[in-house]
Amino acid sequence: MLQFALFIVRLFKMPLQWLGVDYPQFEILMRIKLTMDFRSSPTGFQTSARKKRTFLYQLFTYSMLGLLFGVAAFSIGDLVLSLTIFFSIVMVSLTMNLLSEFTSVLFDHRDNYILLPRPVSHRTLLMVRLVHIQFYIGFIALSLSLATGILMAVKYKGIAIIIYFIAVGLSTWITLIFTTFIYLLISKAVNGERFKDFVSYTQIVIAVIIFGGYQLLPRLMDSHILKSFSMSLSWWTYLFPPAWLAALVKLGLFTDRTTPLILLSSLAIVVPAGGAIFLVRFLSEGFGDILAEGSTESATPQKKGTLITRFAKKLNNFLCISDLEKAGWNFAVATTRRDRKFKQSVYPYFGFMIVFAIVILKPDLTNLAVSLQEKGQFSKYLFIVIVGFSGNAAIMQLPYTDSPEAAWIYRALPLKEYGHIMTGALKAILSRFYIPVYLLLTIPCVILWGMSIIPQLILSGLGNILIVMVPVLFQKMELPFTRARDMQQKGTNSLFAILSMILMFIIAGFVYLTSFIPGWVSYLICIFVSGLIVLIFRSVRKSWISQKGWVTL
Amino acid sequence: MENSQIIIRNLKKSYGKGNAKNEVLKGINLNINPGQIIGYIGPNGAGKSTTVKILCGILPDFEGEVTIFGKDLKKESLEIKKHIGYVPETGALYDLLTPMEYLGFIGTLYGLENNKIESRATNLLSFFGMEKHSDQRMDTFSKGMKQKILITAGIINNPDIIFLDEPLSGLDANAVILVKNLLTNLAKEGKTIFYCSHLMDVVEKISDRIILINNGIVVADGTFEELKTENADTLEMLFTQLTGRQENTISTEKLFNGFLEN
Repeated sequence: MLQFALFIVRLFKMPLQWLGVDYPQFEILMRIKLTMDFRSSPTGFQTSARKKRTFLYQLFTYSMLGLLFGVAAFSIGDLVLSLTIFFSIVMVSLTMNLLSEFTSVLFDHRDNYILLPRPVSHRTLLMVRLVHIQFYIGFIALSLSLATGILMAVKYKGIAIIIYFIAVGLSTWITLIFTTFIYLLISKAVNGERFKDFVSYTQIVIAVIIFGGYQLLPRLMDSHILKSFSMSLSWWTYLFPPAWLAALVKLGLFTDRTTPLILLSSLAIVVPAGGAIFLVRFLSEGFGDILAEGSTESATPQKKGTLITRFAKKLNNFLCISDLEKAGWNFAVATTRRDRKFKQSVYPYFGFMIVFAIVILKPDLTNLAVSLQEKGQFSKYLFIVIVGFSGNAAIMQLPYTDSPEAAWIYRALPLKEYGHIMTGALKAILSRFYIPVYLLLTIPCVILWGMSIIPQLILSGLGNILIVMVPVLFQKMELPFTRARDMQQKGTNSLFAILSMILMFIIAGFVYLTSFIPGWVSYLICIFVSGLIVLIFRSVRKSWISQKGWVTL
Repeated sequence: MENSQIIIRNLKKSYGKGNAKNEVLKGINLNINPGQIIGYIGPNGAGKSTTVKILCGILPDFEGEVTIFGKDLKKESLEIKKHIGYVPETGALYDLLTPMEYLGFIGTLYGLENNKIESRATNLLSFFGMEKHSDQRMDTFSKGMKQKILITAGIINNPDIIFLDEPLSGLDANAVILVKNLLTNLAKEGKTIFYCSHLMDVVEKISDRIILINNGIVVADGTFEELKTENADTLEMLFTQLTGRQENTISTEKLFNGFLEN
């Protein structure tokens, strides 16, 4: 595999040298990076055995998605339109991957002390990073496009299939160049911590947009109309890369040689090549500056004494039963507030909830007021049960950290009641990531459905706490911030996510049934569920009492 | 002055912006001649590592002028980097590789021929007693073993100037002696050694010149004989005097009194 990758790299020796890349340095850097990727220990890429499995699993999933997209796209009569939609999906998926998985590879600061003091030019460094990422997203693009490629081969045969795969390769390069270009432009405007924050929040927003797109777009489209759709050329078509790639493939069929088609196809070749030249020749210095930023330590002053922090302190005193629990709370709040990766894993769920709310409520955007009033006729306020997702996502992330070695502190502490740290952290997470969102959503519910649903809303809220505490109780969750992030067992997490979903439906059904009984009975049930929650917390606290005086991690 | 290999004029460096701005170097001026062992010392956060990172080209964004080998660091950093070596304070190396693979990689980045890399790597690994580990992956190595590889990688290109940031970190007593001998002999061959450390006794013994910085400015510069006074006849005492750490000793007493009472 390594030799094959290097063989492909060698094919580009001439253009790389022409771009000002030091080729011998480029090749040894590629060789070393790929060698490390293939050796089994975590250093940042798909290295550990588990990560390799995850990557293979990802490729399989993409192949299946590609099959679905391919069949859907080819149900449209016009080939250029179907391929434009298909390449749009491919490029959006690749952008998504670039943002979530590969940004850290592009701006990897960890080897600053190895590479920056050596005589390696910024052009060579940037090109190595780009080609290294291209290698991996190339696999993803290939998985996504394989099924469509087979469909193309069956339907059109000949050179079209070769041009199709060239177009797939170009789609990865265009995505990569475009994303890097945007990053470098942003880095000119903001630097240091703000740049990292910007990247982090962009990743969150994109995740929500993609999720929303997958959920909402198919519902907005009418499938029988698509069959009769055809691509009409507008000025913006020339600014739309998937249309260039679709035109290139169409040109490969030799059935059509109109000027717009030739122009669009030319753009598919010229823009990626020109983009690479522009990026490497003129913007690589900026790339070097971003890398150098990673070698600096900039302090961000922490805000003190705000209204929210004072309120949080009071809440801490009110909800925590011991000093150790308060310590667990403070630890969890301080860490989750600053940990970007935690935010990246949890914050998208807030967006997902809005998408779910839209999917469930299906408001008519052309006449929102009337549409929502109509919704008031039904018990769709039950959608508030999905708020549990945010609390669940946050709690599942609680054991993971980038510095698991700091977990020695738990071993060194002369304590028996570790459970108090656990429950303190859990209370903090629920107060920070679940209760505020829940309270916020109850306001429109009360406006739309009236005061009479308040017992059901309280019951939904309490029911959700039960749902998020189930994995903690049955899984004996690890202590906060003790496990390496790449140790996350996606399978187990998915299992508990499914279990939580089932519980969510049960709770929603139960809450719906309580709407038929007198309000005071519902309040009694609320008191009963609150007692149950207290018992669960007590059980979690006890499950972590160590007999030996230290904890086994 | 004309012989100076490194000329630093009004070197300033800040991290962060606005309220978070932290000026680490506030105007460093130095001339460094070839063949000297420079002990660059100072308290934590004084700006030692920042100076070294700038001189090695890791931090390209700084104020002031730095000339190395008569070349402007901002304009000709690639050319300068070919003739310098760097041993970082962090254990930064690709530890999934073996020492030979890693040193081969570093040597290639300097454009060295394979046979030259191999003979230099073999000699240096033998010098440190690491030859039997040359084909083992470094992720199993101790901190001291990794430090030896870092030092080897820092000099594999036979540089004219070697910047070392805490090079003795994690090394045992035997290895410390080896490194001290290595640095002394490299200086005899005309190499300039720019050496940051908190180990005052080592700096005192091997340095031809000691530069002490505090709060981003040079507060003392000279040989140890020139710098020592009646009240400070060791480098450690001199350091404490010049960086105001005596006050801290008193406050430590206060702390412990309070600590034990409560």
